[in-house]
Amino acid sequence: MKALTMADTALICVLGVVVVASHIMMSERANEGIEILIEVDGRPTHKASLTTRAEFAVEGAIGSLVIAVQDNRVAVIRAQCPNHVCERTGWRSSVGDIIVCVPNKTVIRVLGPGGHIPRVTTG
Amino acid sequence: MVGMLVAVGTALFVIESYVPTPFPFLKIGFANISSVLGLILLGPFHALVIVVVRVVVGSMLVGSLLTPGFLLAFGGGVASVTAMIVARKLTGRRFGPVGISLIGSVTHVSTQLLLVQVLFVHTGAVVMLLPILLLSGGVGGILVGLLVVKLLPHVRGLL
Repeated sequence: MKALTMADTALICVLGVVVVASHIMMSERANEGIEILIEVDGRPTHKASLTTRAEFAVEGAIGSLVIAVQDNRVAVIRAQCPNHVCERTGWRSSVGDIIVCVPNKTVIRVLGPGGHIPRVTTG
Repeated sequence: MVGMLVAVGTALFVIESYVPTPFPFLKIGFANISSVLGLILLGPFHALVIVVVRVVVGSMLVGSLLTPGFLLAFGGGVASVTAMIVARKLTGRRFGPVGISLIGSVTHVSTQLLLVQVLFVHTGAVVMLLPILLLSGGVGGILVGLLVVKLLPHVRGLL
């Protein structure tokens, strides 16, 4: 008996396509509804979807910051502050992530639904 | 013959439940070897019996009888064997053991995901697991199918 029939091979190919397609769909859906919120001194100044591509110039407490959103990530790319901790935080993308510039009293949050995958034990 | 396949299936089910995996829901599903063999050699009714008895006895042995995990195993098992029976009825001999077992394992993971969604987690978040479950189910299904291809001549000799 042959290990694989034609139908078997076709089924494996279809499943492969479905896996790849569903993976792409899910990763797109995962980023939908995720927003970044920029706050200066506790007041929200900008809000944007993580899927957009944009740069925001924000006036902080002691200087200005340039915040970039692209490729489903957010980062402070330039900041007028003494230590540049916010710049070195780098690109953030997960719900719950936070970038802070303390001297500028500026906070960037990644907000969204979910954030964790439920774990279930099956038998 | 049914008894032997139930015994083999149950043993595989119990042994596999002790094998650690990165996530508790990822497993090959070796126990399905017994149901695919049963379906091909003995027919739909016996395949169903093999699955039901295997899940009930196996869960008793690992101590998960009537727990949420048992509901998932039972629902997944029954749905998966039903899908395999229907697939074989409708397409005749077009699918070999690999195709049959693949249909079974994909049905198994999708049913479990659906049950988790309906019974336990009411958010849409579980759908995010679909790609990885389909992938692991697919790999498991193919592996099981290939093992069945290897085993068929030997088990047929025992009939």
